[in-house]
Amino acid sequence: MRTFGRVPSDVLVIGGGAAGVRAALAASENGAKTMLVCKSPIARSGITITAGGGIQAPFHPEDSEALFFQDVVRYGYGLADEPLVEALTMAAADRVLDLERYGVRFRMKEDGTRLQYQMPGQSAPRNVRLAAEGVGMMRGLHGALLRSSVTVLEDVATVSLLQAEEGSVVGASCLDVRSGQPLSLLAKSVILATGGCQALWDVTDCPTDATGDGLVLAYESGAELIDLEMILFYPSIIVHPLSAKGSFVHYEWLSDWACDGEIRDVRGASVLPKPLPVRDVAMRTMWRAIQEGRGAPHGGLWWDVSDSPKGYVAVDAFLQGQQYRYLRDRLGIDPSRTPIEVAPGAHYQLGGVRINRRSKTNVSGLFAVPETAGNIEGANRLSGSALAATQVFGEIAGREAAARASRVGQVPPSQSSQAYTRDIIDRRLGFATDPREAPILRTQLRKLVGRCLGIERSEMELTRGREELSVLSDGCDRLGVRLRAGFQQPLLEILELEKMIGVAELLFLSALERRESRGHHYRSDFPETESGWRCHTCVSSSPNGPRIHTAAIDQLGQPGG
Amino acid sequence: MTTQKKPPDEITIRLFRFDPAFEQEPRYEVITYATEEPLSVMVLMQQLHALDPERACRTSMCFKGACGACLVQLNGRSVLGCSTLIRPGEEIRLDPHPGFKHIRDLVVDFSNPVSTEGESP
Ligand SMILES: Cc1cc2nc3c(=O)[nH]c(=O)nc-3n(C[C@H](O)[C@H](O)[C@H](O)COP(=O)(O)OP(=O)(O)OC[C@H]3O[C@@H](n4cnc5c(N)ncnc54)[C@H](O)[C@@H]3O)c2cc1C
Ligand code: FES
Repeated sequence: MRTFGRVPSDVLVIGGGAAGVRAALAASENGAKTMLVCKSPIARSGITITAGGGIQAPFHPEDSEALFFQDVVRYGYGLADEPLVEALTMAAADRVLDLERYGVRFRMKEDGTRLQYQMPGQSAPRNVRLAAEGVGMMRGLHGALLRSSVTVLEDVATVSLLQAEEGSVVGASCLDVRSGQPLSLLAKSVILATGGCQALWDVTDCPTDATGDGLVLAYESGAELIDLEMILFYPSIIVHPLSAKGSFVHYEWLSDWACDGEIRDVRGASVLPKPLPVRDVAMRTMWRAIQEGRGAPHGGLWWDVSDSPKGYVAVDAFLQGQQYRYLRDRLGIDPSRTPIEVAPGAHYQLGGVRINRRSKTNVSGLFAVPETAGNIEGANRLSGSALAATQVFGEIAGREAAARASRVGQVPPSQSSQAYTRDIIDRRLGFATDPREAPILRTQLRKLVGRCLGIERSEMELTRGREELSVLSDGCDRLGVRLRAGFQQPLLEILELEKMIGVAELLFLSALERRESRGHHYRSDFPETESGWRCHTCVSSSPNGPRIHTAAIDQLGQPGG
Repeated sequence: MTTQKKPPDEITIRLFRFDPAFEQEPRYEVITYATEEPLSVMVLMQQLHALDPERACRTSMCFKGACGACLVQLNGRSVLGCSTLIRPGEEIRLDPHPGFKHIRDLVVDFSNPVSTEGESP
């Protein structure tokens, strides 16, 4: 059995994607004794490794921080907190340089400058391209992590946060999946870096571990969650065949300057106009076409570059990214020749834990970094901002968490906090239910969320969905495992299911609360964007259950500056 | 490797099962999985795990054949599970990847590489 955690850390990072690893590096570079736990293997799990490899950074001579700022605020449809956008846009280029220092490689032009693409909504060419995409980014960061003094624990899942009597977060209670044993890790500062919750949807391009744990961990500790209804649906996620399901093809590459292709309906008519609309408009147009009965056999539409005026050779030369080679060389699907069935699906969690520009939550001792965090982008985001945000806010959180740790002493968790966290695991032990129930419930949950919290929402569907959710929740409450030694994947998955159901409940509340349509949140019963709704939805825990309210957008004195 | 022709609507898997913390020695579980379309080894593992979560395997993937989360042995050969298609009618054997410390069933500890020298399937 592994023994660790006896000695408290200064900084504990929960989650080992791009944001968590960057935070851990920054914490240790700033002198903090740092530990990072991840419920799966680093660089072989998490959302970052699926990333396509664009990072927004204003290096281009025609670009500037101010233009970058304007673009993010504009396409966030007014819901971004501007001080966070400012932090993002000011530091993105420096953090790309840090990545190079960590050994991450970017694609260069022949003249030795960085290759940059101008993606829809960007005022200048802005996305630098990772040479080996998200996997390459994680390999570089992981290498730097292994060279650092950070203590790394894989297959350790945080199930709850430990809190002091006065409420500050002082550590985390975890499940050591390999031994099945609970584990208490104490720290002066805790950084949540658990990624998104997109595994709640049946159509998604995110991996199985994107279960939204950080949202529930934060919520239960008293942190505010913001704009949870804002889930970014990517227009073109593969729905068939099963072996390619969850992969995606870029709808952006249908642009004239790229592959010049089309989204086609079952009869071959094109669905999207040119120039291509930004993501939320694109996916809604596609979704409507599917609703009108124009869908292909597996409920999708055809992403088609097969008869591009550019010709096969040019298109094929363009489609050389990892996922295209994977489809062509490994799964026998040539994307340059074969139309691919795609549908809009959950791609990115725009909302999340509310942070300030120092990456702090409203609970002392608790920080949150990118995808787990909310309010950086708003109701939509442009391609390439998410990876930039992992590095910018990862660095900020690590530095701030280390600074806090040097100021405060280690406070013990309260009795009640210890008892609460112990019970999360203990109540599942000692009796075994049919182990097949958890995956069945998970499938039912994903169908329910896909249907009721999908691209088009309404009070009726949301209310009905909440009722169905409570049935699934009761089902999950009954699940247990007989404790045994060895890799405790079944127990981990029950605890994940419990978190997913908790997230879904908060999502339902937030989606019901926002009675308007904005960005990726579309209410068929409130189809217009209302200026009065230019505010955040906020949900936090109270003695009477979840408390939902609104909060003003944090604006800079000089918008656009 | 013995690949027999069968009516092409199922895949037969001999699945390595071993929980060293709990069991004396490994065994193979023989499973027939009904499918009419070819499936990648990774999707097959995910499906077998969903049917019985006690069959341990990594499920998170990169969807592009680049991260190595799906490393496994297929018929004694190391493969990327997400990048290797199995057709209906095939009979296969799945073992954990020998390059890393074994944890349970098909799960290995990627942070703990072991020498595979002299090891043959
Ligand atoms: C297909 C795809 C393509 C994308 N392409 C781009 C792109 O080109 N450019 C861009 O900017 N953005 C892109 N994005 C978005 C971007 O990749 C993500 O927003 C970003 O990588 C998230 O990083 P993260 O560190 O916050 O989360 P993750 O990378 O998901 O890391 C979270 C980690 O935390 C672990 N974890 C979760 N819960 C727990 C727990 N309870 N205890 C311990 N560990 C836990 C997980 O296992 C995981 O390893 C893309 C997203 C997708 C899905
Ligand atoms: S899942 Fe990443 S290489 Fe197979």
